[in-house]
Amino acid sequence: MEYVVADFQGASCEVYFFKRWGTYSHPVKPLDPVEYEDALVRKGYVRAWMCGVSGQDQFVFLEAKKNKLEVTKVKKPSKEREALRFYEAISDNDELDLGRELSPGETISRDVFFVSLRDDADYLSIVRQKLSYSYQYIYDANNALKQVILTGDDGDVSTLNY
Amino acid sequence: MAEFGEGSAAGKPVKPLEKGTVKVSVRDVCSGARIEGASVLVDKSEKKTDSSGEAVFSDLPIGPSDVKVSKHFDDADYSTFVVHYPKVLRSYEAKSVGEDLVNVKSGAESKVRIEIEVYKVVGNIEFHRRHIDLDGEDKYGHWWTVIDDSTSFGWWPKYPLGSDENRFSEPPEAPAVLSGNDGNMKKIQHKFSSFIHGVHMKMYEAKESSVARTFRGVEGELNGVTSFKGKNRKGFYEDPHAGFGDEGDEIYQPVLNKCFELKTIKEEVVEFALGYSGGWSWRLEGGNHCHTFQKILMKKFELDKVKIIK
Repeated sequence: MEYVVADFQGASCEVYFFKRWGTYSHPVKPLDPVEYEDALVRKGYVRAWMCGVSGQDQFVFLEAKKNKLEVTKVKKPSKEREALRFYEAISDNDELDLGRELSPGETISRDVFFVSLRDDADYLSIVRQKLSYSYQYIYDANNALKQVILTGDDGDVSTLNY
Repeated sequence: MAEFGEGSAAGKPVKPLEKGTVKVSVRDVCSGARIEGASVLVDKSEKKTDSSGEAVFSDLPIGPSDVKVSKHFDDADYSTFVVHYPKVLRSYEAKSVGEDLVNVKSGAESKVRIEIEVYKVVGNIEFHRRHIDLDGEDKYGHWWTVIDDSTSFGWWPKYPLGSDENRFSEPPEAPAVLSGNDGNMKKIQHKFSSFIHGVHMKMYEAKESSVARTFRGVEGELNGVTSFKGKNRKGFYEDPHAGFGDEGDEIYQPVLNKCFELKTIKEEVVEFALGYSGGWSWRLEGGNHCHTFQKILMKKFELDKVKIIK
């Protein structure tokens, strides 16, 4: 899955997945694109949001995510082992129960969910993610960068004005 | 005719040749831990130490004898940088030697303890390097250092390279816009003023370009806190690249053969990083940038023997 469709502040966006980002300027450059399922097996990855704003595509948001994937003892509900599927993880005390199937877009706003990977395994894996930081990019009418809103893992927000 | 041991040519009795035993114990000079698999040489006889770090030699001639010990810590074979960037490495075998003199006594077990340096790969410390790729997408790359998986340090420009915060000069002022009532002389003046403004603007843009700022230098900052959301608060230090598990193109772990405590190294590296200052600039390997920071750190803490992990 090369990208996932999700909303960002009312705009419809395509969320792309990268191994990393580079440069010392903003917007930073997302680098080494990977498919969603490949991103989910990494220790961490970068999500970059390309959104339609005023009829133009704009790179408006980047998230650096820490990621952990573990095989569970929950059996895959679908017999289609070759299909990539996502499921809600419902917290029940210390246990996580299997919930309804999620669309790929619904997983974007969740830090914990089950995934049925395209493999021969009989069991689901659980994805646990944590935001390390994010950069939101705001542009002027000429697509020049106007503002960067930086958010840390503790919710601390700072702004760079251009 | 006298039998051997019963007499001599002079008619005096000859004692049987006396023998002794030596137990050699090989230990880590820092911790005193027993070292298994060390080669021990006593009087031309060679043995390996057992799991107790000991080798026993019997039937040795009485008197002083040299004891030599050597151990190759294969897992800790290391390299040193002749040049960090572009990378030139020199490789070494992690071998330790030790020796002592033992007095072999008749009918008794003589003991000798030899302490040697042990080469250890310090897996809790990692040097990560993402290299400059001038023809590729990542022109700058980045180097950072991780300790204990939870603490990391790198040297960054405080403000993004394209930011006005890094401006060294003010942009040239554009001439006032002409009004419809301006006469020809004003228009002529405006024509030349506009042209000269264009020239100054081009010079300004060249002077204030990211490349120029990279070479000339901008304000530097530990972990890019201000503009890239790295962490630098008491107990929490994180380089933005380490923040999401980026590994870089290369990873090195230090190899130490001196006595150390990881806790102390960590405390001292934190102190060094927090005290590091200066601008951020890159002039090949000159200037003060993420490479400089890591190279100084490695040298200061004698972490310059490294094992190549990636």
